[in-house]
Amino acid sequence: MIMSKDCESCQKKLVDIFYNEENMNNEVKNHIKTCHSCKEFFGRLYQMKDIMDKAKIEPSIEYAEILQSFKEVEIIKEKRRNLFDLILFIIISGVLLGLVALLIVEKYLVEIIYFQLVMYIIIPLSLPVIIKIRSLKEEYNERY
Amino acid sequence: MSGIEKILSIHPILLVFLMLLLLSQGVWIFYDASKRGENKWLWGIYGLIQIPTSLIVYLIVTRKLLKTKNCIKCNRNIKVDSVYCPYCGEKVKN
Repeated sequence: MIMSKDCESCQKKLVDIFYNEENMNNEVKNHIKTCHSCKEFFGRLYQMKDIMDKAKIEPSIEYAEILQSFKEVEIIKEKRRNLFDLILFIIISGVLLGLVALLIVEKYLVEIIYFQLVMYIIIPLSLPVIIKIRSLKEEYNERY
Repeated sequence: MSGIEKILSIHPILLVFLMLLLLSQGVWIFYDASKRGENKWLWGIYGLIQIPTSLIVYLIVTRKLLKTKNCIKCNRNIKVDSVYCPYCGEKVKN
């Protein structure tokens, strides 16, 4: 539909009036009274506003669902990463323990037993050290 | 040949059993530490050193002495009595 120049400029002004960027003036008022299409255009602006106002209620629910989906994706990614790390750890541990078994077979058993006896003393003694390091770390986190 | 060397030479299965036991301990500690947000690599290797002292120390540290929980949002280890997570700011206690 080809609009007249008057209608075109009037409808531009109506949009500005609708968004409170301009005040209604007599020229526009008189035009709306006589022009059916511009009157209809102005009415449709308010209808659109009603629809948009109603639409504001729904997105909050979708937004929560979107956030939830992102959280679930992060959890799945974390699980996959943990599984990969676990498999890697099993392989590395197998290699390390295999080396120890090889040392035992190569007649280094006595040295390994001495090492284990020393570890029986050192490991329990490491407990206060671990606790101290952890409490210092937590104090640091609390402070900063 | 000493007594223990004799035993291991007679029963190589015993050696395999010990290795598997150590491996299981290390893997379990690794898995549990990763669930709790602990440094899983450090604890995992710690679990490979000896059985059962490493496991006992790990359980004492994580279960009894320094009671912690995981943040519901970022899953990092935080104190049980925390109201807000110090890492992400999420409210974790009512």
